[in-house]
Amino acid sequence: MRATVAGAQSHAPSVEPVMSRLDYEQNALHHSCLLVLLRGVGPSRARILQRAFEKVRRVNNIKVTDSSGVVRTIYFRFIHEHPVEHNDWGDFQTHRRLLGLITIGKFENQTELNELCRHHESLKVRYGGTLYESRAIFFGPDAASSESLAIQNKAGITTVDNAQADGNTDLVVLKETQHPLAATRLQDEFTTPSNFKSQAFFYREQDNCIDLETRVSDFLNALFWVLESRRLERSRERAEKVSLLLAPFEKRDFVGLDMESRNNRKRCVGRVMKNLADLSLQAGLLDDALSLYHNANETLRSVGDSLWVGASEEGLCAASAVILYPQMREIETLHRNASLQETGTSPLRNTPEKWRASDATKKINTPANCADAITSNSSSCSSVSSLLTNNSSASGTPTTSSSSSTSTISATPFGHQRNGELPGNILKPEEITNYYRKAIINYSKYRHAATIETEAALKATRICIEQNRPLDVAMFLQNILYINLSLSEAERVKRFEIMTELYQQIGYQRKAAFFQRLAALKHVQQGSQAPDWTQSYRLMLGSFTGYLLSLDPLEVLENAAGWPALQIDLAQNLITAARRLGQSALATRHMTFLLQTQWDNMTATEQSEMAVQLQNLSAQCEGSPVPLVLDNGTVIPPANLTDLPYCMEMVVKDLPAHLRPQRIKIAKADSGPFLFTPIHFNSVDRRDKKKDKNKIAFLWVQNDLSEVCVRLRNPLPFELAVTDMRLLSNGVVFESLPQTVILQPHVPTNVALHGTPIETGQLDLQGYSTHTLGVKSNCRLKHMRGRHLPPNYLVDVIPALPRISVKTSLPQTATFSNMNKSDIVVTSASLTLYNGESSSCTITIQNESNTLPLEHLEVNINSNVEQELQKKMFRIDEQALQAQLPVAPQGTLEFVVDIYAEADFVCPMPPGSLNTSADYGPSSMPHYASISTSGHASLPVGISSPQHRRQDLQHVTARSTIAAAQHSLAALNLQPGGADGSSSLRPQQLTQHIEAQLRLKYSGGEALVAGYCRQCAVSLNLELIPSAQITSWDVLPAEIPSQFYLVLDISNLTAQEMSLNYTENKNILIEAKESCRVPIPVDRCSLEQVCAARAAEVAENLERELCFRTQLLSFSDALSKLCSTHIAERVKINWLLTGTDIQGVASLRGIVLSHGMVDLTTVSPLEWSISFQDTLVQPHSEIVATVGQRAQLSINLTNQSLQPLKNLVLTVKFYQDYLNGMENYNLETRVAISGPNRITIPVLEKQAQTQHNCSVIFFTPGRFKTSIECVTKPQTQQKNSIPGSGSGATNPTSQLETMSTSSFDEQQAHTWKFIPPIEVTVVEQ
Amino acid sequence: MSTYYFVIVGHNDNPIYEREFSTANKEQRKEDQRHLSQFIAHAALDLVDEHKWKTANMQLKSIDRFNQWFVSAFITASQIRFIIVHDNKNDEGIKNFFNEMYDTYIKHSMNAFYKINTPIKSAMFEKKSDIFGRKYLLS
Repeated sequence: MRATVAGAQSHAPSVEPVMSRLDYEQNALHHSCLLVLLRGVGPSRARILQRAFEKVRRVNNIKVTDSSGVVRTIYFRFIHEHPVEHNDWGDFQTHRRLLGLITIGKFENQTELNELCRHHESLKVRYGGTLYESRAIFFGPDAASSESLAIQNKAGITTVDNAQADGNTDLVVLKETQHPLAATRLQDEFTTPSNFKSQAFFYREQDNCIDLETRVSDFLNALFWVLESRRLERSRERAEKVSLLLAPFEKRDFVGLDMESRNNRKRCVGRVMKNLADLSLQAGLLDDALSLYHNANETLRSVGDSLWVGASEEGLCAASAVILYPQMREIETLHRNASLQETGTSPLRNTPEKWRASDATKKINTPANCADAITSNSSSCSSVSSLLTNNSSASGTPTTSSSSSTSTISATPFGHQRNGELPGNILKPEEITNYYRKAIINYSKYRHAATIETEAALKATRICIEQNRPLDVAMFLQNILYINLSLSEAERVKRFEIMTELYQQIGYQRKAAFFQRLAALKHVQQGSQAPDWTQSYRLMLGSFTGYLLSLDPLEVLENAAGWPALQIDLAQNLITAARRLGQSALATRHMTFLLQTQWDNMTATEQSEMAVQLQNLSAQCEGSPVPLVLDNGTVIPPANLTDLPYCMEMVVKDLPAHLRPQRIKIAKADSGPFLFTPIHFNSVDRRDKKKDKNKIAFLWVQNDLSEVCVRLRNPLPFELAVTDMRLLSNGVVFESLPQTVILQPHVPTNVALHGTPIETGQLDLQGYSTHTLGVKSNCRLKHMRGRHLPPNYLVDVIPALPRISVKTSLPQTATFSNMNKSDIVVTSASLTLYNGESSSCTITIQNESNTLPLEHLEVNINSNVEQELQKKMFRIDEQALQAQLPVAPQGTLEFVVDIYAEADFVCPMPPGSLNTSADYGPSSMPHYASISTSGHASLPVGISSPQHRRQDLQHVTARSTIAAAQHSLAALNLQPGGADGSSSLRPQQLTQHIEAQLRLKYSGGEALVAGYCRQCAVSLNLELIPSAQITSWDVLPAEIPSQFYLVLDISNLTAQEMSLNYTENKNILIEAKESCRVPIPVDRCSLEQVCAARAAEVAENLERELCFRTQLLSFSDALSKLCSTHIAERVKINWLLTGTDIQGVASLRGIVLSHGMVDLTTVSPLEWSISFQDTLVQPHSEIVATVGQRAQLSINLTNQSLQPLKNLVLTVKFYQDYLNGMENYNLETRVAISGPNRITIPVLEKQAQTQHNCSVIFFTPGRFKTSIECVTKPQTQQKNSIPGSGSGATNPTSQLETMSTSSFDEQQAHTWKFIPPIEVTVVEQ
Repeated sequence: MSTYYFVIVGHNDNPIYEREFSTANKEQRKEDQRHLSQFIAHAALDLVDEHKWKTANMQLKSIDRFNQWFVSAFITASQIRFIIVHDNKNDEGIKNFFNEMYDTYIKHSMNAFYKINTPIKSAMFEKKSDIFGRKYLLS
């Protein structure tokens, strides 16, 4: 109620005595300070002046011993600005009165000096009402000689001081008595104008101003004494006579009131008492001040003078604070510095520390006040406990370390520290807050006291900060907002900034940020005359901490904290500010930052909007990943758009297969008989491998273009152009090639990035750089989140390898082979050959590298045929090849691959025929024929005129078999070769495809030393067309026992006429698709070879037995093989396609011989010697006998073999050959033999002979034939053992011999015939 | 006419649920209003954090104000902060609302698929907060 009345009273229309400007920096301790205006004058603001300012400022207190011997400390406050009207409040609160003036100026000449003096004087006039005393400090030009200057410095300038206490100083003439060099003195050179009535100090520009402090100190002393005199004056005033002291706005309120009323008297007394208290406080009489304040408070409260009650309460608080918190004085001096430092460091870094982090700087700034410095140190840690102790004298000693973290020792009062007791009427720390609250309430009753109220609240805040009571701080600060104060916009902003600062001091970063942002917005709010974007920008940036943002996007993403909506808003405001400031680089940077950090917190539309904005911003200034430094030293770290485009995958690609480096295989050194060793020499390596999983398994080659494939997705709804994409690498020098892609929205795209390693060693691939939306970014894998990407890839780069190109003389194929390793094929060659034909292929290798020679070349062939066959088909002259190495850079090398179309010319025998022919030699033929005839019957019609062909064949055969054994050939003739051949030919008719790779391993230069090579291949496609084919074959005895006839059915499978050369001088022409039969005389296989084969087989079997293998080879297999090779070696059939130069050789390799054939092929172990009628029968000789006459037949057998033959059965049979394939053995009525025709010979020893004689009588004339043959019968197992052991007994020395004998003779049935059969022509008598 | 801005703030100062209740027709300056409310709520976190250690109560009452807006807060046992920015006094309603929302939040956080500190996206939660908002704040 009182408040409203007072408010109404004070509502004076004409006067506006409100203080124009808030003093935001004020704190409670300023109540005890004497106010001095420190002002620079004149145009020059040189650095020298700054130094002088600091020097003056340093003298902020003096110690005075008063009349009663008490040492008082008097504090001064230097300010730069002071509105004159503030002096009007001097009665209300004396510390608001300006008492002293110091001007500092620099001049070059007399005119300038005059100007400085004029300035000084005008200031004196301005504050004349309150000013006690003034000084001027002038810096003049340098003396001509530095020498004289030095002398002058040494001497110093003694000023005539002893300023009079009455405040009006005359011009003091500075006398130089000590030094004769008076000419150099400034004050002699220049004179101050006559109207300049202040005391001045002159200094040269380079002067050290050693005595400046003492002079200032003297000046301050003077001020104090004036003040002291005023205090004494006031204290001696008689209570009845005191006049009413008024606050400026109160003047009208008391007009016409009865000043003599009891109430008003009391009011007057109270106010004077309060005024005296103020003066006492300033004069350093704290105890007096306290009691006076208490008294005044009581007095004034009793009359309800709320404003002055408030003032006295505030005074109480101030006086108490001066005692309790002397260290607060230091805060203000370092405040400036502290705030500077704050802007310099990263905002997030110093958040945990609370408000008094910079004690060190405090100490440095105030070296003069040692005691103060120490006490301030001891109060440094107030963040732990909020408990305040008044009398912690124990810890009040100056030795307390600065890091003592207990309660605030600051409670130790400065003045009373020594005796350790506080005045009894001092306010307790917690009371201070209450008193301030009361004072503020009192002030709030007066509209015009709003400034006072605000300042009080700020003072209270600072006290609470000192007391570490953040909630009270918050309460006071909050209250400030509700004080109805008409402020200019600038003031309002200032208020927010101060609040920000204070909130920051108590660690309320979020609150601080809120007000900082408000201040920033106020700076540039709509309708503002001069929007200050610089300030706005600065404040916005400052509020980052509060919103848990950091300037470094990586840090922001790492923390992932804070309120995204607010962060986005802040960043956007920041961008606007930067843009308005014309700082395009910053705007781009912040926009990039916004996109990078807040991507996940934005909707798709926002994302694309921001992206477009970024594009627009970067059009003005391109973004690049370098830190930006602001004017105030703040570093804005680079922002990279790592996820735009979004990298889904990064794959390091191996080189193309044919360029891939390989290890040259070195034959392993013999490591001894131990295959296993428990010591793992490579275990260390293995562990290493586990460690870096990002290690790439393959190698890259120096100077070879390498590739990394990146899978990118464009998350934006429009096309995104990414230019200048390059790989980022570390380690060895890597030259990466730029790549440009345009990414469609949301479609994953593979982009190949290329580069060339220039050096060898380990290459560290870290990511890639992009240029998109006008921003250059370094996208490192380790910064990509939410994907399973390793932080980098490590690739080993080996020394450069040569490159080659390969050409062949053959045409290329259209299709590539599907053999394994087909990826290394660089070229291909195709060739069509008839079976048995030979050709060659020239391969040209060019060394493509410019510097490296080709020093190593390894050629081998790989194909889909067996190794043996392959060797026959392909031949390379290895030596000639190696002789051409090395190949110089850009040089070439040639070599030839000989190709022979090796194929099976022999039809595989049907297995059935083998069995049948096994038991009986030529007799198998009819049987064979019968099979083939049936086969012929079922022939498909497609085969052209087999009938005709057969005739033809027969014809040819007839022609070719000149003197061959007629009957046996006749038997052969019966075999329809064509039919048989075609049936077995059918699979053979298909052309055969052979795929081969000619693999080249090559190397050179350093890489060769390091053991690396490359491999490429030439794909060879061979098409083998059937040429001649041996469809069937037989072995016939020849005219002489040392030879036999190999009879072959050869088909011409080509489409052309073929000329066949089958013996040295015998040729035959075969029409296309026809076949013919040729006999080839071949030498028999000698017995020695047979023996050797047998011995080998025995040895083999022995070995097998030793190894407990059950399956033993039978000798016949070995023998058959022997015969087969024997034939293959001797018989070569050359063919030539007539009309062309295509020719080839058909070999009989792989011919399969039946058992009977084998017997014919080898030399018979039996030598026949047969005489008929005592004449030795010659082959093909005519033997004539007469009907009814006895004819003597004598058969002589000799064993030529090395083994004895056992169980021989000699058979003599007569038969008639009808020459049509029929043979009649039923000749009982026509011929009779005396004696047995079956004779058993148990053993025929080696080289032994046996003879058999018999007589023959022919009953009818005609032609008879005699078949004489000797058969060994296979024995049963049981029988085998007995003679085996028997022979073993007879010849115990040779077990092997026995074994072989038994195996040869007794397991196999053999038939030896006397060839040709004896032909007897029986004639009538 | 009264507006309430309710927000649940996680441990990293990140809002995990936001909701507005207003008797006024919705379109009026809604975006602006909401934005300011967010800032006020965020600024109040400092005081919430200060107050939560000073009292055993979960209800922190009205702890901050800016211009005509009051900030009331509630702190859960797991230090999740419920904040309401409102422009008229309604202590009882807010208290009840907080209690009910606490209940709802607890239930939701017991869902094995909900990770603490992540935004709440649940139709049920939405519905419940709507019901309680209308019942305690707007009635």
